[in-house]
Amino acid sequence: MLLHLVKDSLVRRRRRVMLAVLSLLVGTALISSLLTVSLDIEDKMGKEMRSFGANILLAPRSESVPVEIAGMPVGEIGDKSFLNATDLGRLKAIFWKNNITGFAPYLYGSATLKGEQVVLVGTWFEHEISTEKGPFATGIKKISPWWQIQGEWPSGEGRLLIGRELADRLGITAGDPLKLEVGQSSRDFRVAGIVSTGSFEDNQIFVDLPEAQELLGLPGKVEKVQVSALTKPPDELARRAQLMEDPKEGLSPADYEKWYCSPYIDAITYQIEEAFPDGQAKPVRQVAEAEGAFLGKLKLLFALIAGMAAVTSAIGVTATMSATVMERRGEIGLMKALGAENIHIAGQFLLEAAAIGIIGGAAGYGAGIGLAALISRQVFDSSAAFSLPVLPLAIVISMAIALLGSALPVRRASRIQPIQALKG
Amino acid sequence: MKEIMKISGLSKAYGQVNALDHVDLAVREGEWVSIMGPSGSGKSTLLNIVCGLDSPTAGSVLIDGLELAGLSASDLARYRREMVGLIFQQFHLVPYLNATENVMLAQYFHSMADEESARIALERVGLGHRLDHLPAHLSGGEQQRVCIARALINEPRVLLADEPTGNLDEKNEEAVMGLFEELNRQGMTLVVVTHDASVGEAGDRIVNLEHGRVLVKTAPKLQTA
Repeated sequence: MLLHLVKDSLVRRRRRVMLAVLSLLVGTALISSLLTVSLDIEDKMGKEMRSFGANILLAPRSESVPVEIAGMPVGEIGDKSFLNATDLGRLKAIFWKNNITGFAPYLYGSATLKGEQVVLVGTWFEHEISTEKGPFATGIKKISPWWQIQGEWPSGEGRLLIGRELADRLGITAGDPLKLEVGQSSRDFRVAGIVSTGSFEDNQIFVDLPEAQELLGLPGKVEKVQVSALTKPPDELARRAQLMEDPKEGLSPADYEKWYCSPYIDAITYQIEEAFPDGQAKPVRQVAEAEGAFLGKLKLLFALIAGMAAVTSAIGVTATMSATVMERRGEIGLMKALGAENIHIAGQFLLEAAAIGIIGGAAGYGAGIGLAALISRQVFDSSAAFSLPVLPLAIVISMAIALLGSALPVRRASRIQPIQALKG
Repeated sequence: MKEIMKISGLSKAYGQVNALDHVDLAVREGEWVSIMGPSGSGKSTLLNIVCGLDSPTAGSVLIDGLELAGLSASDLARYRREMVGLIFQQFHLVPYLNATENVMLAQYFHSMADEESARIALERVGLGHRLDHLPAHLSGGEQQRVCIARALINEPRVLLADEPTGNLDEKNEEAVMGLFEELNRQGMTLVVVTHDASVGEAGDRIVNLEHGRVLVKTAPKLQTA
């Protein structure tokens, strides 16, 4: 009988029901799309953030203290240490190897160009290394996509990049031949492109790593490696681990396992150091923290929009259900006169609200998937991950909004006095 | 016969107006009592209080040993669905439910809706051929008979009717009155509020109200006899 009453009521008031469904559809679509987007926003935003530069620096661990000027190690107090270029493939063998999106080695030296002392940097422009999952393309072109190149990226031997300021000062343009002198040796190059970064790179010369190693007499050596990794913003566990010298010792075994198996930037640097016992990996804090803060704010914004959507939908449901209660006042009065208790009346309205919630939730989920795809394409230039678990969640949220929105009308219905309702 | 209804010192005031003023009335089991009086005499107020739809300002209403004064809304609802059957002048049928479903509605609030017993109740009031008809497709008399079937479905102790023939033509009035007489013969206690003398005289006793007070209690059937 109850189902019959609910079905009849829904069918007879389809226009009003459609309004409530529409209200829930809009709210649930917004909520489920934000939920879908936020489920992989860390990944998407992480990838976006990676275009702003590497977030981990790997350098040799030594007793010496490196001295850097304008990004170039100019000397060390003590013996200078190096990493081996052939070991860099280990970066793609750590636990979070899939989160290492790229890396580039650096070897610095001083060279003479047209009688002027310049900073010579050896690096990989585009380089392929073999991993257990196949070849992996990396290099500075991948981790520094914002570099503006006039001309082209160097490919093949004897090609270099020259910084914009240095090129202007020395009157060099793309395609010009150059002779670089390091000590007694020299080598001819051709300018493939002129690089502008707005930073100290504008005064440097970049050549392929093996050529720099040969010129500087440091075969197979690199001085530092910039690593770009997808990370998770720090939470309470990550912040706790950050304060510890060795999280393995400081955290409980369970917390340590959780920390180690989460892509926190400190967990990744920890794993990099495990792979490079002679190396020291440090997060570039400004980048990592800016990412975390931005993601936190974005998620808060999402939550606020979702909350507003839920409230707006609930108001829509309240308005529709209130009108329904007013319309059915006489019917409610009759039911009470026949012996219905408030629970009978409330049950009927809440069941109607739940049915409306299910319809609105399912429709909202469908619309939300479309909206999520649109957001992902427009904002992140990628497709939205279709998330089936969001469907039951969307229906539950929609039902909760519908029930919450019906609370006031149901309360009004329960206060209807049968004698007054029957008098009309 | 034992008293199934005992009303003592019943008063109902709306502000300064006394709708009922110290009304005393007793109804025996199986008795048919007609309550009559002009408009504003308080007869509908009296019936509403006995139905548990309204509460008195003072006094006592005892139905089959149950004191209505002081009952909670929930207990009053239970009283309405278990002890009394209500018949209204405007029928008050749910327009989108057919005759059977309207009868089943009262069952649903009482215990379990049962289509078969609803059908039997409708056949009892002569509507076996109108089971699937919506109220809009039934005549006034037929609608009132659906209302009577609905009032009877939970086997109440007392049938309470407020102007049951007020919206019916003569033919339908006769049909409804015939049903009341049959029910009364079968032992049903009836309290019928009416301003129609012919309807009132069908009862065992007429209680006349004026300005909220009981004027006279007559026994037309006995007098006739």
